[in-house]
Amino acid sequence: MKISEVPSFGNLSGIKVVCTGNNVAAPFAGYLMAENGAAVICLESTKAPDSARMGGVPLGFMTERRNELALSLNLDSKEGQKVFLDLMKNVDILIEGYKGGTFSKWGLCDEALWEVNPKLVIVHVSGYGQYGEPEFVSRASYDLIGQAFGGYSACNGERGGEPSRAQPAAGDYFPALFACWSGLAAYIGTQTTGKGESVDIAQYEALWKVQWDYPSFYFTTGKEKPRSGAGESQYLGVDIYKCKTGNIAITLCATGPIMRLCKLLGVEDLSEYEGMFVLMRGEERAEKLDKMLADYLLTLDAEEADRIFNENQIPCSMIMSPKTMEHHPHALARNLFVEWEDPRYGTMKAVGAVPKMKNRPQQYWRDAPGYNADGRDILSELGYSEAEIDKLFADGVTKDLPNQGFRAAQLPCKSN
Amino acid sequence: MRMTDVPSFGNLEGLTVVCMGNTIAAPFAAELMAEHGACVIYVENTDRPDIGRVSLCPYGFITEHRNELFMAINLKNIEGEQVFIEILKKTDILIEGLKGGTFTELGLSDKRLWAENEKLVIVHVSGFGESGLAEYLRRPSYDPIGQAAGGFMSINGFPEPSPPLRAPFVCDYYTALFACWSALAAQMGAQRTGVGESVDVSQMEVMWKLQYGYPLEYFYSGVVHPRQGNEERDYICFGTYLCGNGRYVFICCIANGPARGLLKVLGKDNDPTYPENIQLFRRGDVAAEKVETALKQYCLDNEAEKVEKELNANGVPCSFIHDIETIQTDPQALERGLFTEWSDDRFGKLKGVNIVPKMSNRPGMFWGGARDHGADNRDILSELGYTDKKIEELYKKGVLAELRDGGYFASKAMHIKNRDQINIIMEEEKNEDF
Repeated sequence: MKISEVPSFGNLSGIKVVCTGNNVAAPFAGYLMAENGAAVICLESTKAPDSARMGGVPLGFMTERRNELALSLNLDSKEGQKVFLDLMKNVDILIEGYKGGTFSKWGLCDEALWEVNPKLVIVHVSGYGQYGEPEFVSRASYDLIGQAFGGYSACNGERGGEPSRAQPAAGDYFPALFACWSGLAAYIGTQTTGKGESVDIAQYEALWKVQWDYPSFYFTTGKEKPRSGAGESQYLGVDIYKCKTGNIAITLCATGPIMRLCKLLGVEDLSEYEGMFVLMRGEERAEKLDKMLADYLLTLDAEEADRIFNENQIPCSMIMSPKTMEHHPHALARNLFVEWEDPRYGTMKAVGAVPKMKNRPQQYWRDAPGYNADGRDILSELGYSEAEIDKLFADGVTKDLPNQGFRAAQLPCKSN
Repeated sequence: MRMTDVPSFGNLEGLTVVCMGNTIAAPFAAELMAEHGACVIYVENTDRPDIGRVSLCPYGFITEHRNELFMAINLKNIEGEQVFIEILKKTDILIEGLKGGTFTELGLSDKRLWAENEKLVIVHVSGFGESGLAEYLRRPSYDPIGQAAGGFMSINGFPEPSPPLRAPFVCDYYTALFACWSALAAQMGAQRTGVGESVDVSQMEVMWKLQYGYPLEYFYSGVVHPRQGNEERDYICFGTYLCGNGRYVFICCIANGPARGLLKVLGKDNDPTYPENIQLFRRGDVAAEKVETALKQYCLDNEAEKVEKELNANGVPCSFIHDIETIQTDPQALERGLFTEWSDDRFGKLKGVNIVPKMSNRPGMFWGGARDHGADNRDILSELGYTDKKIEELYKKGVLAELRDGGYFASKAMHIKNRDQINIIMEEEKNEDF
């Protein structure tokens, strides 16, 4: 498939994006753009495919590479770099997810790319950034490494327990979302000024950026907020409660819901709770109300509690999973899940367009492409002749893989 | 401060954004734009400030409302509505975080707003969306509600006891980041076509959107992904490891390079049991489990600092589990200026997280701290052509307001500059009426 054959739809129609990197942190940014009409080329190395293809059934890849074209190139070779520069002449945004400094090492530094396309937006996504302590810049990183260095694991876990991890891949999705919005912001700036942009996203910094008052609490008081399990470190009433059957999440952090809860629980002297914003831990009346709430919930099934509390406009939700969500009336009313046919694996179903766009909505027009599925088409679009393309294949600058790169993860050991 | 007083810088210079809604889910989207040069007007209610202002120590609010202008308008009043419309005529992007359908109830439907400004990008941020079941649209939502309804809790934490909440406010931040990128995408579409856009961001749906292959796994194979703590279900040499000096590191050995590197560190690189090309150490595989045992012992035998350095030197991803205190001396954080100080009109010198990400040609910057409730009412309205007399009249009618103490009236820490005093007040607060 050629770049020019991507259907016209969505807010990003006409924008051309090349995205290269593994799994989530860089590719998910390109994928969101592809859902909104950008032409997105998933560029994979000739040395190894995107590691997301490697699962037994690569479900994450199948979900998050829809609407994309696929090209393979050897960027660690002179010829591959030349093809890459030809490609860069024709795109608006490059998103790359290699270790800091890798593109410079290949001779593909920002300046070299701007030489062929002065308006190119370059988004670097890496574990530790493009500069800083050299020993860190060259470090490899994954979701959990980012969560650890990003101070995120330290915030999570049970009271007094070990640091923990936010699943799935919060350490990757946060930088991906930063890559997406900042790539678009940089594109807008480029259109205004005529000059391209280079964005340096360090995974750990994206995670430090989304920690509300945790950092400034420390800087001001010299104290660290403790890990607090499902609850809040300072407040009661923001927690997961046990019901007679199942669990329920509740958040009490405004006067209205607190007063309505008091009435629901039959508190005799309502004036005691008037004007209360939060239930401060250690405060007698707050502890009393929290105890009453916990006792009351033990008499209800989760479904019952969910209905009663929401009727009373007290923020609460059941703990949903794909199984309980699949037939949920609200999910059905909003088409949360969509189905599509994949030529390899049959009927697939996953999450559809989020958020909903009213005037130029997202569309799904293609399943996740096979490895280098569009290599020939894209290269011929860049002006390469059939003979030249054959030579690039022969020289290993681009290549195909058996079974289109979809294969089971290899067994780790001979003894297995 | 007037809209024209906003300094010129950044990739979003010239963009005007109006934002309203409480803490994070909507406001953080606008804050990111403000950090990159957009003129952001944050609109609060006349009768109560943003909930972030009234917390005991409003650290989050003052961190995430830098670089913004502030107005307080009563939207339920017909004149307040008119003032709001006048502002929207000059606005590119509106981000609102009220419950689903509230804007329509207020008489401010998308259609009505486009009649006034056809290129307006409207971003609705809510718990359950702008359409669907009426009962759900009315539902109040906060971060944990989104984490629960969004399927996020069901795959987090250890198998027992209950599903955990993930801190800090994962759901609110994810939602805000969706609001931010989709607003900018919609702005690009509006510029191209001349027609505005309405974006419907639902917290619950955002959480479902960020679950990689887990939903597909369930639909495809019927497997509900288990809660698995810090471990991976299918492979090992991955997770939290305790080191000799009592500190934890996280190790993530995925792909061939790291796997070979790990074997080298553990002195097994010449062991013929392990093939040249290893992608993962599979759980249950005898030889792989031997590597896991050796790795655990290696960590216990060495200090965390050495483990981190040596594994990284051999290409094995590994990091300390940093907290806000330990990151202060980290050479990479210092080198890149992760933290920055700024001066807040009310609270004095403060320190928090710097601009993220870094832009090379049109960098973001901070030009001011969070401002008081309604602080820029007068300047902005006079810029829109309102006379002083008219503005006074609007104040008298309660269409505009500036709440006492800058709206931080529940904060006992507001006049305090010294951290010891804050600690004392926090102790006292436990025994005092709020």
